[in-house]
Amino acid sequence: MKVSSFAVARPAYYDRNATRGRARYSNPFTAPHSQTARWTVTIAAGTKAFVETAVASIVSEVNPTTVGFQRVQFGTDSTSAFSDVLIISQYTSLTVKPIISANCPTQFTLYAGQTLAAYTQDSSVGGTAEYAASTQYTVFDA
Amino acid sequence: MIIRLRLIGSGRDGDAYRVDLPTYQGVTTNEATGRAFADVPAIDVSPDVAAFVAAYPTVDLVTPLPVPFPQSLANAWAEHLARRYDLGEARWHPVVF
Repeated sequence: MKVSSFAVARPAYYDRNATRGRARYSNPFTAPHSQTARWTVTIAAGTKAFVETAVASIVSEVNPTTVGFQRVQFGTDSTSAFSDVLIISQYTSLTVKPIISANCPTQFTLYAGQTLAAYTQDSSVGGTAEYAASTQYTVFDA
Repeated sequence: MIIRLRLIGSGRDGDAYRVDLPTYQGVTTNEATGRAFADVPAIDVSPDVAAFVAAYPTVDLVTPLPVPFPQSLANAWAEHLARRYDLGEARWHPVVF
């Protein structure tokens, strides 16, 4: 029994005007700073997006004099990194580490009006670090 | 395109320093002057705002604009974003600063 027709089947998402998008941030020798949004991506009406990769990392460069947390995190809110944390890379140490990173473990979908944002924050006193936050996604017709 | 914008937020947890746009990257901030450079998708910038940015180039995060960003352009940009994202509200109100 025929239950569907190739001729009328809805195209796969990657055949619905799909375009690749990327957002990234990387900055070395960053001093302690307040919570700052480094990029945001908002999905326009009539579209969706698959977030294919997302990576957050910290490379500690110079030890702080007073230790605090150094943090990169992704959230699905444009104003607060703490309502929907997707990825967090964080450490608190007086010892320089070459790199600490976190990857999003799976793909996920963003719907119209949703925002993906990356934030950095360093509550130490003194010292520097390189922060990186990157994502790749595909936007397509909903 | 790179645009110098007003920085919003307090930097406290839950109120991050940010620019008031739906999509941007490449942010460089100066919390003292309240300004930030951001790389904004060209499709999110209305032609009249792009013309204003081109007419008054900025090279740092300190020097004020020679003329303030007109309120009419700010309103038009907010409406442009509301139409493009079509979310039923003018959620973003960016200001060239």
